[in-house]
Amino acid sequence: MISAVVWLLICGPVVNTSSDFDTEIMPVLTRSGCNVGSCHGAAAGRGGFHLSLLGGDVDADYSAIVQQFEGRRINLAHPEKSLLLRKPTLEVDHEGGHAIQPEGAERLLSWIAAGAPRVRARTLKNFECDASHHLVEQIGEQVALRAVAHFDHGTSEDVSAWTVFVATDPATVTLDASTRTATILRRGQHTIIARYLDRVIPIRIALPLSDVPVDHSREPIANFIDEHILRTLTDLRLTVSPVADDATYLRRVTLDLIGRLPTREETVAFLAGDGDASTRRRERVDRLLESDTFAKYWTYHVLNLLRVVPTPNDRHAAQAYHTWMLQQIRNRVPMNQIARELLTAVGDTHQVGPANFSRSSPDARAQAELVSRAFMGVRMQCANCHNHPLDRWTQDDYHGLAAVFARLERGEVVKLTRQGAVTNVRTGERAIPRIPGLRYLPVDEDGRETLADWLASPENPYFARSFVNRLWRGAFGRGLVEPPDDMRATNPATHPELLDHLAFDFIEHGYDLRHTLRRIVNSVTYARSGATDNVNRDDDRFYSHALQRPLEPAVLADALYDATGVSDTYGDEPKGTRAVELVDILTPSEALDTLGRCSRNESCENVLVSGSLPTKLHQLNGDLVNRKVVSPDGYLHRLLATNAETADIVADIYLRALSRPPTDTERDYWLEQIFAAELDHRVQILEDIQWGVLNCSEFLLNH
Amino acid sequence: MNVLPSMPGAVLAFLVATGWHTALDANGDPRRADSASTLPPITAIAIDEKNGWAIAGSQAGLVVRTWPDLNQIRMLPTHLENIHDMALSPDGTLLLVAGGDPAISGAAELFHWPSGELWKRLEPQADLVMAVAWRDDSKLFALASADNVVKTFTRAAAECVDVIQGHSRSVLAAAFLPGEQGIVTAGVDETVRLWDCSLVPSATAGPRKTFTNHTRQVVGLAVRPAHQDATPVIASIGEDSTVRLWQPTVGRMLRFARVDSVPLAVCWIDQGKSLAVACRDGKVRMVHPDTVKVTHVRDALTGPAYSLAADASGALLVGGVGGELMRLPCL
Amino acid sequence: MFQRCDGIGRRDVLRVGGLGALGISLFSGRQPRPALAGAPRAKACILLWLDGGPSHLETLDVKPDAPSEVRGPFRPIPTRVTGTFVSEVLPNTAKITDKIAIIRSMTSPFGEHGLANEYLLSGHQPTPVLHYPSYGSVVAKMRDNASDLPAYVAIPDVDAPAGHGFLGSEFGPFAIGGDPSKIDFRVRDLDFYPGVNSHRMQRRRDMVAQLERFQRAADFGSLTVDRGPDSRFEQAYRMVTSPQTKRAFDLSAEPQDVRAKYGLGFFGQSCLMARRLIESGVAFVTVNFTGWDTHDSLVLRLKDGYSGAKVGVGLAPTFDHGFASLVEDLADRGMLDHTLVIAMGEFGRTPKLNTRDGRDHWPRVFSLVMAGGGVHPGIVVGASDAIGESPADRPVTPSDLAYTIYYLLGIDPAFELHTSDGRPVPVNQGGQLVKELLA
Repeated sequence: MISAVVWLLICGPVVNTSSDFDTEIMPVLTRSGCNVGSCHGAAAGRGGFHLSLLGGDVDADYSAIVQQFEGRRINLAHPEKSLLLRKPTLEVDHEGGHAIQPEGAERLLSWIAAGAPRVRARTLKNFECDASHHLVEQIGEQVALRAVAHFDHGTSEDVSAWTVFVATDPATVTLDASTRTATILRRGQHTIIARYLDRVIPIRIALPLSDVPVDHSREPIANFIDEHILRTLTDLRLTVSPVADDATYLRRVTLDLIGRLPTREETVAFLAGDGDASTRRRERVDRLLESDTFAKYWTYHVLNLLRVVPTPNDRHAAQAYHTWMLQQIRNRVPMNQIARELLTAVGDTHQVGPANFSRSSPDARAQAELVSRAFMGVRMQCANCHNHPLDRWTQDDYHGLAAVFARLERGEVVKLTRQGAVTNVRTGERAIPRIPGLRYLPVDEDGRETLADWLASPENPYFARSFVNRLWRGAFGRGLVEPPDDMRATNPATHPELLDHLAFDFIEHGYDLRHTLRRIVNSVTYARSGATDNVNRDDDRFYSHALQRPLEPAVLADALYDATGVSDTYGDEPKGTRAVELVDILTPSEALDTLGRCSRNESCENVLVSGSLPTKLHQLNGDLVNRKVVSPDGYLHRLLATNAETADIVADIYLRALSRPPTDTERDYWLEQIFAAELDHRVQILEDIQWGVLNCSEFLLNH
Repeated sequence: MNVLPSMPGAVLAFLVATGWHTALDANGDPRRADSASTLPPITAIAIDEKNGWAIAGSQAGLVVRTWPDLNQIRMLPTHLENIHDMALSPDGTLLLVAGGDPAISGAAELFHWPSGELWKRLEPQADLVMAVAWRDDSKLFALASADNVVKTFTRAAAECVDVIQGHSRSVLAAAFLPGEQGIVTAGVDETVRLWDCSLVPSATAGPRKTFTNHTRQVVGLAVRPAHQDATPVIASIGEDSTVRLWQPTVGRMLRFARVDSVPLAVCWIDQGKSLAVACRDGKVRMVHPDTVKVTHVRDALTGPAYSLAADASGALLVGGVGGELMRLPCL
Repeated sequence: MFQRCDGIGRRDVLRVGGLGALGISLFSGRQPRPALAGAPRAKACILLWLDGGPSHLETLDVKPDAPSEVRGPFRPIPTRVTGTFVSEVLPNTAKITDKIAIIRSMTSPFGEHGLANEYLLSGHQPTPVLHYPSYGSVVAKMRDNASDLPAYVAIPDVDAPAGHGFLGSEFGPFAIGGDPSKIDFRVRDLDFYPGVNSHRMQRRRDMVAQLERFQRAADFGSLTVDRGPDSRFEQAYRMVTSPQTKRAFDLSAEPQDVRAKYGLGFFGQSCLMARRLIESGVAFVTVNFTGWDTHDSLVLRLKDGYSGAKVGVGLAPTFDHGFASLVEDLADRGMLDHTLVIAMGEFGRTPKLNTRDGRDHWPRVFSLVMAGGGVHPGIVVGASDAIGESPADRPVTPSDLAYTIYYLLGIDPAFELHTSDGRPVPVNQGGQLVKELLA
């Protein structure tokens, strides 16, 4: 056996960690920019040399460098003559120019001299930046960037020199790659992305928005939301606007919770109410949350989110879906249960409402994209053709998720068949079903149950966070993460701890939609006025004041109805049907066409309304508003018919449209206008006043 | 030269199992040209059966060894930085070796044979010459280059006859059909093309035929030795892991085989009765040309086997990763 | 009050929360047009946007000598300019090459529609941080718009990359909607509602303004509410109260033979509409011609239009009629000299034909064509390599193109626009003038 030991010593391979391809050479390629999408990382490669995008496929890159074309790129007899070195050092013509630093060239050289081995000497366990948050004091201040990698066997290394740091906004943060310092040029919160091997993490840097410190220690706090918000506002030295008055709050919370304006009676009662303001507001919130209108509005909302595209002319399916969802929301079924049902339901879409979810996607890939967008807040589609460049998702994740849905037949009856597969574009083979980022599933089993379990479990980080982010967005006009379907490490939340807390709270309380909404609308943050001072005027993401938000098309259409008493027609629906209650999103409707209806083909999260010129033209000259102000069935003309006092008519217009009575100044002004006119013109003037109110920003916005 | 004395079988088995040991021949003895792992791969080989020699080329140079024992005899001085293909002229009077300096030039050297004296040095290409071929009458040879161009030359004066341009990417393989039937080339653009060529410059501009069946790069070609059929048959291997058989003059693909590892080199043995395909996993797969089944999978090297040659008896010489060179006796 | 990083105090360009979408911003003081050396001639621009990425190899950069898997189904034909050839499916364009400039060496890194659209329609490389305004919106902002018509019109409509970006919806395109070739086409809502006349409309407008004033004056203590007059409202008001508007959009006023020459389908009539709008004082018109993403069936889609067509009515002949007629019509009316015409898409297509007789996305080299407005007629700028894969000579990036377009329009590429939070963004970044394009 001694001779065996001698043999082992003589013949054993040399394990030299300084030549570890996976953890020493790959970073050189990324750091030198070789594998970006515009160079060798392009799908077609460059100059015949293809590397995986940003180093996503180490096996393929090793093969391309060492084995392709019989090893033309490295010279093992004369390492310094290797093409791999001569090109990026410009010894040989290179379109990419001088790409590599001396340290990188040295590493490549010594690796080639060692025989260009692939020894897999160590694995990356963790990658972190020190620090992950910075708070700086002034413009021009510099921050040193440092990154550390922790490998198995307990070793750690400062890998700052091999980490790629990129500022998401180069106009606000400039990076000096050689000294690895970031210089902060503008006030605000900024992100730098650090990339090493297959990890991407964000570094957040904040520079307060003013030189004057603020003291929010005496600000009222209703719940944890206010704590988080005020902390950030203090760091950033932003002032806060005071809490809004009752009328503003009432209108805002009614629109946000039940998608409609408060009625005249509700407004008058609320404004006249006695007792402590915050108690009154909380009671109103409770009543709104209990109402059936809430359930109807949120059915509309959730279906929007899930992009329910009814099959044209299949009203029964749309009805079944709508009825089912309404029932779930009415019965306070936990959101994760709803998600579970949607993911796993099969059957006749005319009977089994949730089966329509699967039907609404044309194929497995589209369904995977919808599932990741709607239930995880993730845009998985980038990972179709290559590993997602800004996040952790691989092609195997994307195609694997699609594979979970591959066996569904998506007709009027949704059923699970025995065959159906998707091809994993990377391997060219059938994709193995996979829970993205986690593990593969057995090939011939129906993976949807397992996927649904994973998604619905309290340990799943994606579902709760993406859902509460959307709830937040609905209430504030901006998600803690924007866009809400693009949640990733490199697109951090403005308030990460708050987001986590909201998600945790949501899970703790049984994924209850109403619970989290209550938390949000009861917070002091939500109640703030939209008025601003010099300091917080431009704040659009730290919630120092309320943001003005355009009303969604369907809500606006209903608001016009509520303000005037004149409804629109929606196909064959009975008169008085509200836009948010429509079962079929494609029901013919001139009003919705004009206002910009959400077609649900694309994400409905970004519907713009009332901003376009054709919409404005229609508001000026079209039926939408004009028909309502002249209609004898409208409140205006009905009041006129009862010979009501002119002042009361003006007040009625205000109360119904703006949810407040006119001020004395306003009332006097309008009365003056009216009485200055000829008697037979006064009706027209009143119509014009109502018209004006319905076209002013106080009406058109949720403020 | 066999530097390693024989060792206890159990230890040997252990070493092989753990991958620490490299090439073994059928007798179980280690066969290595050198013990270090920093050697460049053998990327071109040729067997001169008449003289009992085997020649191997790599970035470390040109080495002449005995055949079949593979003992080193001498090195041939060469200026070629990389060597990617070589071929002895059918009449045995010239050894053509080619390669060059990657991204800079493609070059070839012609040695009188068997003297080994350098006759001519050509540098006619802008990037590596990846493949060479001789016409069966030894009067014409071709250099196929990574610069997308194939050039033909007269044996008499090494003068360029044709400049064949048409491949849109690097050309990786070339083979003359018997007689005056032309030359077949293939490469990165995934096509196999047939061209006219002769001792005088060709009149036709484009290829006579183009085959696009391969779905990835085509890396090797081998013409089947004259069989009963008069119609020539050619085998191509591609990165799509297929081995395809064609009748290029007729214009069709006959059939194809799939192999489990990317094929890197191909040659016919037994007067065309079997195909040997050396692969990236270091194994050589024997493919029956009529059934297109893989009949044998034979261990050869520990990694990519880039080059392959056969002698008249059907014994194979495989060269590849780490300077490994391995003889596989005929089956 | 915080200062912008250049030390200048904040101007009155305000943004209010999510109000950009509503177009609610105070009118920014119109910037005086900065002086430029030379006398740029273009006063207006028509962009024919060929959405999807038209194949350069089938239109402006045919490669008859390329290998068969690259070559494509169409042959080149000679044109009015000796030595310049275009594809056989563009015979009318061939007749007017003496009036146009072809660029064959456009190059971009973006092969995905969204990113490529953003780059080509603004000249700025896309970034997640900002939405850059498109050419039309920048022109709308920089022009002193004396006309009652919107400065920037889109036919029938365009997506966000051709929109206003951070400039706000005041500078977004007016999308006319519909299909100008249809008999019943009309721009909606230009007529007053029954019972409303211009006097009453004015009163209504004044009332809205008063309501906004009341809002602003409301008592918020030391705070202010940033809700201003709606610029879109003002624009709409001007449009409906101007007699010119309806006329400009009414194609029935054009003689039938002129309409026929342009081509009676959507694209031809849109080109004609664009000419009318320019005549009426619109500064920028984008015609959105979709369908060029030909991953399959090149002959069917680009030439025939439908199976078995004897006379081709596909994308290329349609483009050919419309484009050539537009250029000639502008020339005949003495308008070509001050109207810049551009026809382009977001990228070219793969040199290697795919398995479906089509080509896939290829941004590395592609072609476009320009005419009028000071563009040098009768030239070809740049060239691609033998197989149409990479620029072989004189690469032109979309940033370079943007620089040149702005230059021709008399807009200083270095001029700084501002985002709502005061960040300065030059009209053009990183581009260089393509001098060969100047007459």
